[in-house]
Amino acid sequence: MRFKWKPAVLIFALLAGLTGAAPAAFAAPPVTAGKATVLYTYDQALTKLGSSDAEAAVKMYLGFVQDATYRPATANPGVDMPTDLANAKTFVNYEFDVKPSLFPALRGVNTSVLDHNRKNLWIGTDKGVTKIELKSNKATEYKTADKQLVDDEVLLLISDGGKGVFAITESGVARIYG
Amino acid sequence: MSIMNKNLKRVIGCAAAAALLVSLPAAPALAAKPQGASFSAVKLEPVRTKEVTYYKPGTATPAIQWVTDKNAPTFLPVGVTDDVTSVVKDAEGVYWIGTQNGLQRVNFDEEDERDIVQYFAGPRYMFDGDDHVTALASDGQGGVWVKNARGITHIAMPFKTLREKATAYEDVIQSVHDRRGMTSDARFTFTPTDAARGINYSDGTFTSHAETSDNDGLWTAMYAIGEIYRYRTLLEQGGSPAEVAAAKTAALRATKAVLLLDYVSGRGNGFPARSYMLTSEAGAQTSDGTDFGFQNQNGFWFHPVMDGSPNPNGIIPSMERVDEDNQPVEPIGYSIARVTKDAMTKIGGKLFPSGGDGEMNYNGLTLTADAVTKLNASRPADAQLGDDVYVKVTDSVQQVLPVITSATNTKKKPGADTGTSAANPPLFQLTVPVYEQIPTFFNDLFPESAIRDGHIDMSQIVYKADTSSDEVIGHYALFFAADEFLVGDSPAPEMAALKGIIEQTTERMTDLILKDDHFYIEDATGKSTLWSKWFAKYFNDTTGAMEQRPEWASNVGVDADGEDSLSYGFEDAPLNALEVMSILKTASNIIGKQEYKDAYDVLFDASGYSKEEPYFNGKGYIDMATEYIDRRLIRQATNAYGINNNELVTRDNYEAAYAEAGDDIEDRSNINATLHHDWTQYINYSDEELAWFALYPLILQENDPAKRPQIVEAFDQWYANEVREENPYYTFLYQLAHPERKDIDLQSAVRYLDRQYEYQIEFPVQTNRQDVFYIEPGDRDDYKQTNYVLPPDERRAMKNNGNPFEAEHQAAGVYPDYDYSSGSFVVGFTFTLPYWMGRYHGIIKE
Repeated sequence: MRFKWKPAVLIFALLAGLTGAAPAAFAAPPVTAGKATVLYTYDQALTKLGSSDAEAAVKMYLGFVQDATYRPATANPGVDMPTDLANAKTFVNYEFDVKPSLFPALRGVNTSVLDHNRKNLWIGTDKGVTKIELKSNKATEYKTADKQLVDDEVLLLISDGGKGVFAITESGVARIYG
Repeated sequence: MSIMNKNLKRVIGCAAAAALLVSLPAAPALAAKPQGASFSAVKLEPVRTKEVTYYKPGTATPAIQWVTDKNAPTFLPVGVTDDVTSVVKDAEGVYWIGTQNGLQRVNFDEEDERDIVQYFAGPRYMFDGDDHVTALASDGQGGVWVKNARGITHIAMPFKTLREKATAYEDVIQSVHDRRGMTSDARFTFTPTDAARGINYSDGTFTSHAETSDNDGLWTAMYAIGEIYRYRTLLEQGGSPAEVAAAKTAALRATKAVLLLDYVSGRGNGFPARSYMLTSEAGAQTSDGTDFGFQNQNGFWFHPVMDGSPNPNGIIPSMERVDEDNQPVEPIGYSIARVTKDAMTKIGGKLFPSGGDGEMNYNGLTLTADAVTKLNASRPADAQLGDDVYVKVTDSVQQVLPVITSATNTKKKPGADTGTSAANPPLFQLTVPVYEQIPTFFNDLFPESAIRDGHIDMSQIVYKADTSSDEVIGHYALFFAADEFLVGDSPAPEMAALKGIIEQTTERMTDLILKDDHFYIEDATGKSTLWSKWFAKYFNDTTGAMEQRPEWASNVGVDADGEDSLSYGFEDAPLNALEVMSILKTASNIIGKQEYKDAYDVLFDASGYSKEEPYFNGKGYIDMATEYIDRRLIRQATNAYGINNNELVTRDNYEAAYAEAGDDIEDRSNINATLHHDWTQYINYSDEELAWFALYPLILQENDPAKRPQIVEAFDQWYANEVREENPYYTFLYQLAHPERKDIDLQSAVRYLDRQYEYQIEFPVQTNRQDVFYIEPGDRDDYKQTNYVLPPDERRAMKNNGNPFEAEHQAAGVYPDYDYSSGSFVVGFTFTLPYWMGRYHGIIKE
């Protein structure tokens, strides 16, 4: 399976909104926006998620993290791997061309993804998930304490192709509808 | 010239090519688009191109308003900006985010989603490679000033057309890479016009330190094909007379430089040299200045002796030459093997699992038995080769190597003897006759000092033999391109002369390969060169027996004792099969001999290829060509089996296999890739590049409804991985293979050209980054790989033979006093070839 980049659309609508925006402010998790977040254990995610590109990618990633033959320390300990990067915790294979983050060099960001319409930037850290609306820089936090995540150690965010994301954490998967 | 007359009389059989590629001189633009093509040319736009100026401390820069505020308004929550050091938002709304680990340009307005964040790290962008940015400033024109503890860089971002970029690469090729028309990677030094302005590679002078390369023919052919397309595109798409003339000059020079290699030995049999040097060039000299002293170069070198002195040796049977009346041709001189390490020591490994101790079972520089017998006839009774002068390989095997000295002689495996001289010459030094002068057609490649009596003075040349299939396939691809697109139907005398040379050398080289049905390039030793083997046994010794074994069902090729039984050439067979197909197709079209056409047809024989004695060279090779993926899996699983103590590696016993492999990266990779059934982990990226050279003439020349689909099917297998690389070199040829398809990702190929760095200098790069996942190292590598291809301007400059997913952690911190005024340049043909090929065939347009 391949996850191809979609051609950019709606690209000119956003920049104006960025200019002069205030520093990011935090808002409470959404109550009314979309459907309620669904939490899965890895096993539940593997059995219950469907076959959309995003869901298939989630399951494929879980397959890697659960397989010792893809775990650098057990599979090939001689390889020089970065020790401090969330994206270096597992090897993947050539079919998995997901980009784990937009940012090569923000060590505080484990993972990030931009909606395909470029309205929202999602950021995953060791302390949960933050959605930033790029037009206003309004930030919304998603945390375990609010039942928005299985745990706060975020490994990978995958866009669901619409407004939401799948947030894969150390111990589970959250489907956040945004 | 007799060559020209011969040419003018000959009828060229290229009906198939003409059907696909109608290239009339007055044809309208894009006439070279294949018939029935459904794809649309991608319109090229000017692109922002990164141009860096390096300012060491003390160099004056314009007044800069440095920004050191990490809290400048951004879209980032403050909780994730601990390592951010400075943020600038420029007038166009582009964020420049400096961190402790490099600089990021963030432009949510970027047309291609993949370009929204661009990364700048390592010495290419950060002064002395210090990735800890301390301050930034917009330059007001889309670029940025970057400060770190070591110095300052200015990263300008001017808009350039891809045509302008192509010109920039051409300029560097001419000033840095060109060595009498040959173009290989080269070292350079750079002198800025004014050091006070910092170092900017577009503001100063390059000095070339180009040297001999193992693959001067292949690399130069790659450049030449691109220049031929440049010429043809400008000719047919409205280039000015001056542009057309300049392109023609460049194309002709590069083409000549390759063809010269087919004549430089003077053997008269189409033998292609790997490379050559003038005796005045660094690296061509010997320890005492004579042909008996040691030459410190890798490989198998010869020096023509043209002063009339007698050849000290006899002529081995395969190097004897007769004329049309079967009378011996008298040599005009002889070439003597230089005393190099390889000439003294290259024994080689055994090729055939079925056994045998003959010289053909060794992949080394050994002389054949026939050659030894002939040479001994003129040697003293007490200095007979094989009896008195030889190198012991095993208890039962001894070999005669091209150079044997009193130190390397007898009863031991040789080490190089570097102490030889005229006073202490080798006991044996192979010679090969020189039968002909290099044609005067090539004189203009040489300096006046190398011309004597109107001819190139061959005694001022040393040439490198032991030529590989890599070189040969480069030559043939150029024979096709030059004949079709450079000569075309031009009546100009220089083109007629070129055509004569192309035809003569194509025929000679093809006859050399097909001679005695042996399917290899024969060297001065009387046997094949190490890496030019296309005979069936080399690929499939014992394959028939292995297929009967139960292990074969698990992709493991072993004999009855469970030992690895895959023939030496097993994994190379799919590539080499395409090479033979390409060689014979091109030879058939250029020369039109029935013998070549028949040999080509046999390649498609439905009865398949030989897997046991008697081997029928060439027969059914198409079936090997379509086993590209299978043979990677088999070679890989057989390796894993061997690593695992001759047990199949499965999910039930991989931990035992791990224990056997220990920490060995390659062994672990073979085990894991076998478990994962992942053939891409056994890719040789150099082979992908070579497969292009073999496929290119086939895709453009073969229209037979039965043959073409089989060739395309083979290409499809290669492209299954090449598609990941987004490299126009592969994409554009793939589009020509599938002209009816509209879904080939041309946009990514254009983006590749957009993002190619202007100065392809080999900078160390930063690969520990958070926007990729990593794939385990493949079989050939000890470095991890990225899970998608990074844009070329964020990774190491490399030719197409490198692994573009390479994530070797190189930029390991600060390089104190990084030397920006010298380095190594990768040839810009990685840009110019696909650019001009794409333009000519209507895949891209300005």
